[in-house]
Amino acid sequence: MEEIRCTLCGENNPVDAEFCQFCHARLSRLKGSIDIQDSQPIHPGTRPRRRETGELESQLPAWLQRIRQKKEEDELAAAEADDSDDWLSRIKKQAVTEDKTPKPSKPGVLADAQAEPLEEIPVSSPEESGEPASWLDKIRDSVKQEEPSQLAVGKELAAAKEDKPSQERPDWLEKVRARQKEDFKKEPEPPPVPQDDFIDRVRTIRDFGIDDVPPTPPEQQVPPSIDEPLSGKKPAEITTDGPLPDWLDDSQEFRRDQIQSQIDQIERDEPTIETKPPATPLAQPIDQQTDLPDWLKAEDLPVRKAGPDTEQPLPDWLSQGAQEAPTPPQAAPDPQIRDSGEFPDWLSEEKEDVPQQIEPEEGVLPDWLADEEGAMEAPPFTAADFEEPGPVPPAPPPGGTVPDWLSELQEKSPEISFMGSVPDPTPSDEIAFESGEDLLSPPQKDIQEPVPAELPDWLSEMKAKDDMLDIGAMREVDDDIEIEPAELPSWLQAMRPVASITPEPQIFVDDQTEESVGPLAGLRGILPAEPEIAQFEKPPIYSLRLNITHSQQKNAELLKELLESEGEERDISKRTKALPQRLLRLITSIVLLLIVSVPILFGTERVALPGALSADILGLSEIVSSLPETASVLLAIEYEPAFSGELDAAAAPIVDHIILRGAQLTLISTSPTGPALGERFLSNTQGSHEFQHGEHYVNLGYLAGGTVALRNFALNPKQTSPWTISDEEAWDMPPLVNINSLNDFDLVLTITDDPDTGRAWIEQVQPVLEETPFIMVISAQAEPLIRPYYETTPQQINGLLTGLSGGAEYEQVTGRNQFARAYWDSFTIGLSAAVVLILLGGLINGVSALLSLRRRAPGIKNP
Amino acid sequence: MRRLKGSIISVVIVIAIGFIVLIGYFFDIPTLQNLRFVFMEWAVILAAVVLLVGLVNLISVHLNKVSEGGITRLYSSVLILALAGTFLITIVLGLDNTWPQFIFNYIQVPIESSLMAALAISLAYACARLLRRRTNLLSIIFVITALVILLGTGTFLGLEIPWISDVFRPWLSQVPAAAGARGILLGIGLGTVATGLRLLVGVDRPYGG
Repeated sequence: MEEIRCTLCGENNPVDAEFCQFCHARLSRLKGSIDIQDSQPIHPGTRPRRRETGELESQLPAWLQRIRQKKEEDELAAAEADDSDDWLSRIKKQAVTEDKTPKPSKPGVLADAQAEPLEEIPVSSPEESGEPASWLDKIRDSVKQEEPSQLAVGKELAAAKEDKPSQERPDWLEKVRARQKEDFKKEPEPPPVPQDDFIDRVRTIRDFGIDDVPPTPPEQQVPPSIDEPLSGKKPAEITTDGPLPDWLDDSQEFRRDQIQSQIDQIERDEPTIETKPPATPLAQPIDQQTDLPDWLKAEDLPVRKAGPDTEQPLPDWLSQGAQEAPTPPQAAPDPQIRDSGEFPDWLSEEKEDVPQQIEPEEGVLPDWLADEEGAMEAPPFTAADFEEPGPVPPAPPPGGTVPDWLSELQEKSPEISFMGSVPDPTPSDEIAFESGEDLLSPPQKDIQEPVPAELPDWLSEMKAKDDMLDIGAMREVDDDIEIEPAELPSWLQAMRPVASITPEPQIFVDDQTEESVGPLAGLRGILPAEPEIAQFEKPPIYSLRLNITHSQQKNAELLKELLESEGEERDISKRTKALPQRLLRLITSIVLLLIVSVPILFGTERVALPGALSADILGLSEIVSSLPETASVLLAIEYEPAFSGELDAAAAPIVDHIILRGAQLTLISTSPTGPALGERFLSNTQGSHEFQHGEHYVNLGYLAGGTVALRNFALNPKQTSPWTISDEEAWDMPPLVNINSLNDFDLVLTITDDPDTGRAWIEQVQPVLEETPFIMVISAQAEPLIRPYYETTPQQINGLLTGLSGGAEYEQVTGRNQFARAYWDSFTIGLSAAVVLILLGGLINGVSALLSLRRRAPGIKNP
Repeated sequence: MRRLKGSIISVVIVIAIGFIVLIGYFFDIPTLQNLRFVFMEWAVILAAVVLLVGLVNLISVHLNKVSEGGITRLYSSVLILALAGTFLITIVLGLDNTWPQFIFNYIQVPIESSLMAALAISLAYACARLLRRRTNLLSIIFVITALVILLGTGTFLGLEIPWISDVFRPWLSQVPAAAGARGILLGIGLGTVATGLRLLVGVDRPYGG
């Protein structure tokens, strides 16, 4: 057989059991979330309200249940071990402790003692009085006996809850309620509760440690809490000097709700009870009997049968129990009541033990009581009720009379409707009872609060004792009265589910409001604007003055100045250095031109020619001197008109020497101006020889094609350049009659100022020449590039004459002063002037540059 | 496709002619020499035609400048008129005539000579200002070299400065200058060979394609 192990007590239970047979803990886990009916948001100032969460005890985590169970056991053990004389001190200590940590749901001891309906609970039966150590077991036994009815009550509650259409309820609670409702409907009239249940409960209360109290007569066993309202006298104050008995200490574990509900029940029945013995059962509506626990139902049955005015003598069991059960010490009997002889002996003795603690005349509560009072939010009995002992309030009219203390209490808690008499069951009550809203939900006017997922300790502890019993008791109370909502502590508010705290858009209450203005005018059900947005106010007036700092203002002014300066015209400073430089250049040019021009204009030959002849000139002279008579000389005019002054003067001596040797000339050029320059050269420099074209020389003209043409001319001169500049056949003229190739020429003389042209002749023509000497007259600027061909071995250039100086030297060889000498003075003076200019200019500028460098700062770069 | 064929034909022609001329340069083969001479004559004729084409291009450019207006109209007009006059005179009268000789001797030669003289003065002035612009070692070396060459080329007011014309100037012209010139010539020779090979291979196609 399959069993389910209880997570709380560890005992095995049948599979189909819903609650543990031993500890009554829920075995099957509830499905769904916790029913949160009171999912109303928490508003500031909302007072927490007491909630019945005992049925959720099984939802607590296992660790918390174990801790609570262990704590419960420890406390029970400690209660058993404590001396009964310490009960009052423990009450005080606990009152102080609770004052420091207020727990609204767990009122003070005194309040519990005042509100605890011990007057309804007879003293324990004689047969149970001698077993103080096993009171817990007895409680469990009694609970076990009450379990069927309690379970039925719980189911009723859940079923009643189901009637309330709410989407906020979890599924599990809905199911439970549905089942309870069905059970409730099936059993509209609960079976009569046996009186043994009531006896068991009395035993339970009695077993809380008061075993040694002598039994009192049944008429004297009325607890002061019952007598006080009945007699209209304020009960005596109880000080904390005397120790509290164990049973009273343990009684703290009862829920305040249960106690208060019972007291309230008695208060409603005050007129009736006032004239009845204390043990007279309260008149209860018949419909509400189903909610009452068995022990309470046992009390109500006679009332229901006999009516409110019927006096009911104490039963025997109560008398017997009173003789054995101790007197509840938490509420000292009123002296008036004591004098009236209504108190039992045991209570009188107990009162005599603490006579100085009862001070009804002063009306001042002791500290611990004041603290206890402060700890309670809305205790059913306040200190004022005890301070003003007065006559019993007059009986209420048929509807019921409300005593003063109840009036005050009603004023403090208007939500609680104190009825002067036993309220008749009204249809609303019945409906509420059936729906179960009065059990787990506050009245409609109260702000609903969700049930926390994890229960507080005080609630768990009470639930561990007898949760179902509590539910039944609370059900009884909630059916009759509206309990004043307790203040929910902050820690409990923090534990509430978040979903319940979600603010509800309360501004959308009337979503069918017709819009009157704007583009949506006339429409209904539109979303209203936010209050802040919809609130029309006069727009604020802002100052146009900028709120800027002083530095920002300065920067703005600076920027403004910069922008304004961009549009202003500025005078461009004239450069003062341009004129002197231009003037210096002009002066330099004029001086040089004058120096060069004056010797030529005046024909001076004052400057001496170079004294020593160079080897180059001597070798060249020898080549020319070695020419045969009537030699054919190929003269290449390869210079530009710009260099005609230099080259004409340089080449004139050697050409003159060649002509003097009787040679015939053949002129050719690869430059377009070459033929004209050749004619000019012969006419200007060799005019004295009276050379005639076609007879003494032949001008082959311009040879187009550059290097290729030159190469072709070197290989086949007749085919390359067959015509003269006069459109005559060149090769038939006397100078070329015997010439078929370049090697037939006796001498090839090239006059050039261009190194490239000279290099072309060297590279393309010179290799063709075999025995014919190849000499060159070059400009001074072409010497660096042409001289290497002359310096090589074998020489590619047989003779080299460079510039005017070379011509001057060659003139010294021939002894004929021609152009070189005529230009020599100008050339020398001009060259000297250039040297002086460069030297002086270099020195001056160099020194000035150095001075300027020194003047400059080290870190300043040149502009 | 046509463009490709044209480019291939031109490349084949260039490479074939180049190899024929090159082979004829190294080998004395009569057929190759004859072909070589023919090709070289074509080249000379083409060069003369190119000169005429250049002349036509010069005339068209300056005619455009004349039509555009501005200060260049005068210069271009003078150029065109001078060219046309010289060309007509030379063509009509011949090169050996007095008028063409006169134009050349008294217009072209003096102009070019004057430009060369102005260049000489500018170079002298620039050399004097060189240390003002750049006062460094190279500038000083340049100035000293110029002075030595000038003094070595001639005489200073008829006076020969010892060690200049017979030592320093020959040394400068024959050693440092010749070394630099030979380096330049070697570079030119290698570049010419490389350019010839690229033309023979067909990598460089200055003729297009």
